[in-house]
Amino acid sequence: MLVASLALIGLTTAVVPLVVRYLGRYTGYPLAVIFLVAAGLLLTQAPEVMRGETVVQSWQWVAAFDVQFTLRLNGLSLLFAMLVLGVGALVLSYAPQYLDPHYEVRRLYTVLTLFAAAMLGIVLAGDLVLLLVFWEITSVSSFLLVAGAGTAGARPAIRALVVTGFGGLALFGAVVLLAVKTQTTDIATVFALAPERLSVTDLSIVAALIILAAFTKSAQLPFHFWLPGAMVAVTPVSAYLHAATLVKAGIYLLLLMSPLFLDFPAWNITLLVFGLATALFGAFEALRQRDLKALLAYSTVSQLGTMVALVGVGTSAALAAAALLVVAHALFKATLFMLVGIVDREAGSRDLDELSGLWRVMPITAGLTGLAAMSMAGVPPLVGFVAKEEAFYSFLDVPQSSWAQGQQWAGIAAAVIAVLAASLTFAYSARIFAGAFFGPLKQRNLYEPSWLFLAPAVVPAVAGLVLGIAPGLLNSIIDRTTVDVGFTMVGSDLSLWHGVSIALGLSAIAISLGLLLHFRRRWVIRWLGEEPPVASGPLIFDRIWFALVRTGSWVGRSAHSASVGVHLFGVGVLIVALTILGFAIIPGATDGLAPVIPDSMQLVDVAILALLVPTVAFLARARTTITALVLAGFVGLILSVWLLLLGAPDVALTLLLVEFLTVVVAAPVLARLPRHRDVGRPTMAAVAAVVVGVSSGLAVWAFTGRRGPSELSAYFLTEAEELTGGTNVVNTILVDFRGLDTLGEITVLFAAALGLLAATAVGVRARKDAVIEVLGRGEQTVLRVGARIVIPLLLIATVVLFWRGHDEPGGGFIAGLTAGSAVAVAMIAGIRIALPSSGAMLAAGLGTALVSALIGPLTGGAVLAPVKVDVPIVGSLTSSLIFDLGVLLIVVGLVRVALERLDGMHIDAGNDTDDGNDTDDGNDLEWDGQDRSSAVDVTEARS
Amino acid sequence: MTDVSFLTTWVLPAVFGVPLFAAVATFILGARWASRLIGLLVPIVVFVIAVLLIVATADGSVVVAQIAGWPGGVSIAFVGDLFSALMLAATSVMVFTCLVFAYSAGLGMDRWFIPSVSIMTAGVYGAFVTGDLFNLFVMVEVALLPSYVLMSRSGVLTALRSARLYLIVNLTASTLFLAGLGVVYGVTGTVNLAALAGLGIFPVVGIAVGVIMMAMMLKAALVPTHSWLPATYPYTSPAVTALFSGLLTKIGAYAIVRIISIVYEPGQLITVIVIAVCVASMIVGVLGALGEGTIRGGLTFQMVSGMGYILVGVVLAGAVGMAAVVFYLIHHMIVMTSLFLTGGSVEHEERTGVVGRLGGLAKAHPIAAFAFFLSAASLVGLPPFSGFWAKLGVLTAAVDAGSALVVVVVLLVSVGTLMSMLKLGTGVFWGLPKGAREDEDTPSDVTVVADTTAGRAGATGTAIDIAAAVEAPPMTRWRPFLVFPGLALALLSLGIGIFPEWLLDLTQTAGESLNDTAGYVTAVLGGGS
Repeated sequence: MLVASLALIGLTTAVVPLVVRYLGRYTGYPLAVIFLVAAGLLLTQAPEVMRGETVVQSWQWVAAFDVQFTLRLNGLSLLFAMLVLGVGALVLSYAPQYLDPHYEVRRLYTVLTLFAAAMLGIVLAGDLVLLLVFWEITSVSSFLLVAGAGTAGARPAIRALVVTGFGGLALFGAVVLLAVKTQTTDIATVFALAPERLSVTDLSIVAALIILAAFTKSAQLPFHFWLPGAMVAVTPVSAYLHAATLVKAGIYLLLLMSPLFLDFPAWNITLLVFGLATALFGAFEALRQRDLKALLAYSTVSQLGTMVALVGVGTSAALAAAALLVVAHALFKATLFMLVGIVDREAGSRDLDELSGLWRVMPITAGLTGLAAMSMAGVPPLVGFVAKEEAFYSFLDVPQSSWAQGQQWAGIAAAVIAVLAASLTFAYSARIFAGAFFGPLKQRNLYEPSWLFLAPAVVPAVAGLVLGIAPGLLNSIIDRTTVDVGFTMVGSDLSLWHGVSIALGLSAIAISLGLLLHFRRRWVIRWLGEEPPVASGPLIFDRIWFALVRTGSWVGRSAHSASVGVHLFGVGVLIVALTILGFAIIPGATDGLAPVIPDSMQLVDVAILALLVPTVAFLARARTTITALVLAGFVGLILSVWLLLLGAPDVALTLLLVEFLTVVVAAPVLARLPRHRDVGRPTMAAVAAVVVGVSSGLAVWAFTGRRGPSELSAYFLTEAEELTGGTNVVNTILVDFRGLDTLGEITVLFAAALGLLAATAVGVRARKDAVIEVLGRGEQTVLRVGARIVIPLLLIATVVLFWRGHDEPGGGFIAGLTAGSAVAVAMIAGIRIALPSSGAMLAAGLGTALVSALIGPLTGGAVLAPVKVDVPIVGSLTSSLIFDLGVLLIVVGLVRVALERLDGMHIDAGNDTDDGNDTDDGNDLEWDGQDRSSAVDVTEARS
Repeated sequence: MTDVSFLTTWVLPAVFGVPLFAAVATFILGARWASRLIGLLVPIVVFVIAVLLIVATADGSVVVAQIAGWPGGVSIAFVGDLFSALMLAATSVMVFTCLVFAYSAGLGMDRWFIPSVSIMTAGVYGAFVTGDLFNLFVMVEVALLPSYVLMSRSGVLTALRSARLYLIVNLTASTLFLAGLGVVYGVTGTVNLAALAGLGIFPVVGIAVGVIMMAMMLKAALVPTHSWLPATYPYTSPAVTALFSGLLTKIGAYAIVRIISIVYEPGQLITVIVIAVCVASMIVGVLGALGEGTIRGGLTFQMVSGMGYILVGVVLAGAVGMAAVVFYLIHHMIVMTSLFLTGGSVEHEERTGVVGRLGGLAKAHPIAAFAFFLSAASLVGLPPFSGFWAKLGVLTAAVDAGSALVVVVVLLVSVGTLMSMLKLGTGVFWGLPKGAREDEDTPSDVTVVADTTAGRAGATGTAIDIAAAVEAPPMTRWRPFLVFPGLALALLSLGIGIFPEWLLDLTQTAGESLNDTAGYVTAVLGGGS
């Protein structure tokens, strides 16, 4: 039945939008019926609960965190569930009459029902995580309902959500701590295990977090301010969420968690002190208000304070009184909100200074308001009086509690504050009634609202009277509740008349003082001042908010900088940190280094460095871009010589070719850039250079040259020839062993070419005569002659280098670069070579490499595995040659793209003969007849 | 269970191969419907592969493909364990949704777009499965180069400027990475990840690998190397930002998790470093998000913050922490991409992402408002969304490990996240539509602050002009597929939140095998295929 009840409300949420389409604002009525049905479903289990059983239903939900979907019903949850569903039904049957016909009711009803489901979930949850889930949903739905008030609702809604969301996260923390320490999230089991598993520190943290959660939700000082702000929401929302239910979730949580803190004085003292302070503060503020809704909001804050204080007292009688006050408050506060809504609708105002004498035209409304206000004021024979009496008893009994250890003054102090709060309560209750209904009638043409509008307010008002006269009706449920919060059955004996007692005397004092305060309200206001003494909550909230926003702008200011140095500063910090870590902090880090291999530094290295260092220094200080380019090329030259001397001819050759091509590609680009370099801030650059240089130097010193050839090197050197048939280890690594890396790298080249094509697709005009511009016709002729000799040689070299690559220095990369050089020479000399478009070459290259990778798996091996075939005459061939062909094509393609695009010049594609209007619009990739395969293009070009 | 040899021979290498084939095909085809179709098919294929891998590795086993068929340790290995498989699955979903959005935003008409995206995703997928550090470097480059192309393609001057910054920062990261590879090889003689297992206990190796970790931090935009991310990501087209957010920084995160789990042993120093970096990232990210005045500016700072949440679990409570890492990573990908897509749809329609110039859009874009609300709630960690379980996982690990600092920061930063998402959400979707704002007397309205933030940024001489940049996206007529991708991901987050069991089970297994890497190491080094 528990799950049926919850599911009924939950599923109703989903259909509400549909129903609203047909019923509009009258959707409230069927919803009220559904709420009553849900309440009825729960009540079928009431007999078991009253017999002392706890009804539990449980399903596995999230095993990873051992979270069960557990619902349980005991006295405490039954009491709250009835409030949630009962008041819900009343408010929903009130809303249709209250709401404006044009009000956007779909969201209101949907979110209200969602809220009711979540609130019911909170009080039925038997699992901490489940409780937390429902808890957060109530915060969000409250946010949505307050925000529904439009622009005026935005700020209050944000404040409410941030404050309650903060509390929700505190609860999150408490739940996780409890769950980790007890290894379960089942509430009953947690309670059973907590005393032995939680240290005092743990328990204090849990207590603090739960108090934070409850105080934010139940609007206790200093988090109270969101509640009056939330009054911008429509009255049904205020009546339901912000008076009867949502704000009681905090009280429920405190009651629920009380068994954990039976011997934990800090818990009691905190709750009592803050609760009483809030009770007093809220009551004073309520007396100051003119707006009826604001008055009721502060009154709610005050009453919630009393409840918190009662939970803080911690005796069974006090907890019972708290439960009773929850019921009483729900009854009279919901009534008052609904009636204020009626007055607002009928008289058009909620301002006490504008309303007057309404009892003459609205006697029934006046009577009901009187009844509810008397209950709030604690006047017999209403339930509010009974609750207040019980509260006085409990406060007086503080010295008898286990934690106060007979401190008499504590009881007296608590009682005095409680009496003062009660007298203020009486005063503002009286003011509501007297202010709105007594005095001269200003608006004569007002009438009593329809009975449909009044009926939902009649029920709780009358219930307050009935329960006031016969409070014994509540004995069993209150008893059951005290058992649930950790006490043995004591046997409540609620009654209207306890005989002459101290509590009765205190009541009398409170009422007399209240009357005095009511008639001398101006004195109180003058004494308090018109405005709150301290900066108000919303103001402080907004100040914190904007301070955080300003801090955020400051923290995030670097994100708006276009300076590279700003963004790389952090990297520098990390490099320094890592260096310090390695050399200074980790003990023995440098001691563990293997000795440097002797003679790893030779004279030739010194000579190279002697050349390199000044070159780099000049490069850094170079004033013009062309100097920088030349010097950079020179650095590359030195490095390739160095590599050659170290015995890496392949790498040296590659680097040399790359340097050559870089200069060829970059030179025309530089022609378009400013001649002089912007060196930026040289000091900063120098500092950065020194820091990074020292760190890298240390790294090289520490990490390299301290071991012989690795196992892998040895493996490659000894096994490569036999395994791959190639004698050039570098090339076998590139195409046979680590072909995947090569495939990746040519993909990078492919993407780079693609980027060049894309970047220069628009806006760059062809500059066919650029070379002539630079060189003049005469020189060009000389160049042409030379080029006609050099180009064939380079092409022959390409073929040779490619073919022998597997065994001798060479291979696809180098061959590709050589061919690229041939293209470059041709371009400089202004010779046109008929070639397929560079796009076709690129696509063919990557395609070839990819297809060759599949030869392995197709023949039963692995991807990219070389497959050897014995061909007559030529000898043994491997599939890696095809792969290498792909490499070659891509390299040539990229070189061509770079030359053509960056120069703004254009080597004509295969059969493009029209020089006249050849603007470089980026479409030359879409070569004639796009459906021709790239392979066809290649053959055509060759022929 | 799927035949393992089929998996290793065809399926695992295909995550890299299929997108590359697609790149060649779409490069040839140009801007045609066939290209767009191929573009969409690739993530579907990869998703299927990922599911096959998840099925094969759900018991914690590891599938290894020794590329080119050499013995373990010599070959570059493609390693499919559950973590990798989950990353592949999540990433392919992100790519698919981003592509749908991008097509709808008109990017599919750009003939360079689909080949670039295909190559980029090839690198990302490859990075998630490679078991070799040098190959990881190559994969990262494969992913990066097309990203330069995508970054600079939006055609506005500010986009080019931020693309330049993006290029330099990432080149720096690559250089550092390469230097790190050099020193790692110099010290250990190998760059095979499995062969480096546990070697982090030697300070020399630990520091050498630390150089690579620095490069990865820069890529992942962790504090103190975070500022480039919000300086570049918001200035390209929304589709590309969403794509990058789901893919590129996540490579950094993935690599950090993978390398720490294999190379380093749990220890005090690494714990202190990781917690310090993550906590700083969470705080700086959330503050930055609060201070930002544009939709995507705020969201990129949330990425910085989220990176802290993702990675902090690496050093907390062993397998529990690792499981939290994997779950958070997947959750964060879904939610951030959703937010970028939803925010991007608004930017496309309204031609600006400056919060101060937007407002009251809930009526005009109800679906976007709804999707934004769901994803924002998920990002904050509210139930019943995936973010709730993600934060529960992190908190559980932190409490388990006794790290009070992490618990406190995680909770407080969540409040900040709530505030910044409220500022963004209410600024864009609530209040009064732009224009009406001037006569409204609401001095404390949040959006006013947004205005001043944007204004301040614009006023600074060297600053990138936000306003100009975010107005770049071209006006398009309302297209449903502009808003549905973001909504779909938001609903995915909700679905995971309501039924988290299956994903939590998978991430738990993944976390266990990240915590105990013996299986990974044996699978890679033990036997070739």
